[in-house]
Amino acid sequence: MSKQWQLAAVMLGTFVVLPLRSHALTFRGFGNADFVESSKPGNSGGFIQGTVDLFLTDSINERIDILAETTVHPHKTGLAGIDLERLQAGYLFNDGLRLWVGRFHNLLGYWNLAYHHGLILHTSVDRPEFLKWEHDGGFLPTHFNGLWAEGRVPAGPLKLHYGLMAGNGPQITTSGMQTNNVGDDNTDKAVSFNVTAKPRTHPFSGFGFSGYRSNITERTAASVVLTQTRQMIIGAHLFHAQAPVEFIAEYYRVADQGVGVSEATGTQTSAAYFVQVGYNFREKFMPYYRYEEVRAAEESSYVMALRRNSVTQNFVTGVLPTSAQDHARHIVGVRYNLDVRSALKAEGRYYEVPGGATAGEQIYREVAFQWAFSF
Amino acid sequence: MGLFLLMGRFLPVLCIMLMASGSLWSKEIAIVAGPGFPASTLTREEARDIFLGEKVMLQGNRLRPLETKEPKGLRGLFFKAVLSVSEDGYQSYWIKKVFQDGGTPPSSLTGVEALVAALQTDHNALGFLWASDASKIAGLKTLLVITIKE
Repeated sequence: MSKQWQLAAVMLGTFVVLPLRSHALTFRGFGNADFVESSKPGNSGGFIQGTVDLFLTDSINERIDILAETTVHPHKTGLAGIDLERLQAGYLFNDGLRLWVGRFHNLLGYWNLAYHHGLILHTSVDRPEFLKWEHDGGFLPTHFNGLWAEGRVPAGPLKLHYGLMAGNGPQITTSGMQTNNVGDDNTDKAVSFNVTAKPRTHPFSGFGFSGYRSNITERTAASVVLTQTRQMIIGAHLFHAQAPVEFIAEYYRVADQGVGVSEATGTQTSAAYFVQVGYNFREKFMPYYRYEEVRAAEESSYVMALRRNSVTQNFVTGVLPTSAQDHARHIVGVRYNLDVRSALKAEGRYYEVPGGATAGEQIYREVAFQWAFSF
Repeated sequence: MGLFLLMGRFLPVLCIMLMASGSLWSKEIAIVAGPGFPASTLTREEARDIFLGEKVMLQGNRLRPLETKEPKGLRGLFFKAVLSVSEDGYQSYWIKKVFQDGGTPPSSLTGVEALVAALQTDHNALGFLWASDASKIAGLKTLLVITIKE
């Protein structure tokens, strides 16, 4: 047994034993097993060992909440990766204000805050390509390390859920985009916000805006600065998440300005969006469709840095190595809920990737199956 | 003419039957708490938000919503009429909610006796019962009565 798996076993044991000692502690786990076949060249497809997501939350007193989420996921190398995805402590002042400190998911849009790492929570097999986690080659910074103020305030016929984060931005290394978990690599703090409005009469529907500003440095293995990008993301989202209808749409405009040593000058703008619709029959059987598209600015120092350092150890076979390139993806799928905590999913994916003047447009087709569960 | 006379004769009977059928198919659920609960009334929107975890504090106190598996039919009707979700939908909602915001879902108790005992000892707890049952239990404060017509 490798050291990583031994550590994972110890962690799992600890998580299982802890709840027996405390009544207030909530422990939950999420897992999945996948099968993917892809027409992408060089991609063998096959069964994919899923991720184990261990989630703990506790209200240690009237005001203080603790939340921890750890994933253990396989790599193609045969080793396991262990990531502390979220670790946050929050102090609740009132419904209008709670302050968290720690590592969270970035306040971008709806999906990133609603589903986290639990695959059973979302209808489809996986996340939109551009919202994939940093270590899976996602296009947007999905994690954040710092302070987070959030609250819910009534505003006439609406209820507003606001959030404001300030902390370490990411950096791009030879391993792809990385959240600065242990100190920041620059003095310029990243900030992020999200304001979501829900009608007071319909708490499962809403719309909102989010934004993010950061200074992102690309470094070599020897920590030499290659590029520096001042990034501003503005997004809008709309959702309805009440059976039988599910509708989610998100749009992002990513403006990158090369500064200092970057080769690119001026501001380059990329766009990314998706629309997903589903209909739930008797809360059991749910066909769904998603369209997603990325238009990545070719001259952006951020886009070029992501392409130069694309993630090659993505544990989900069949996805593009990085979403930092123009692509469109259609997904048609069905989900069948075996139980509240267990679902089977099957989907077909159709990628269109413009390959430029030399390569021409490339088309990839994939089928994916998943059994997702929580325990 | 004859038809109008016939309708006039049977109209009051029809009205009484309709009213009677209306009362037969309506049920009342009471949101209840112990005597030390920090409020004396709640609105329906507040009750919904509390059981959906959207409202967690009241007058500086952390609320602890409770629900019971018995009597049968109560949970399902409350979730459907007040929260607009099915029982499975409620469970699934709370799996997501806890994953998003932390905290703990409403505790599920075995029955009315356990609920009453919890409400009388925990001043920040609240639950729901059939209004007819709640009115027979001493030492409970009724915060809201919700009439549900099926």
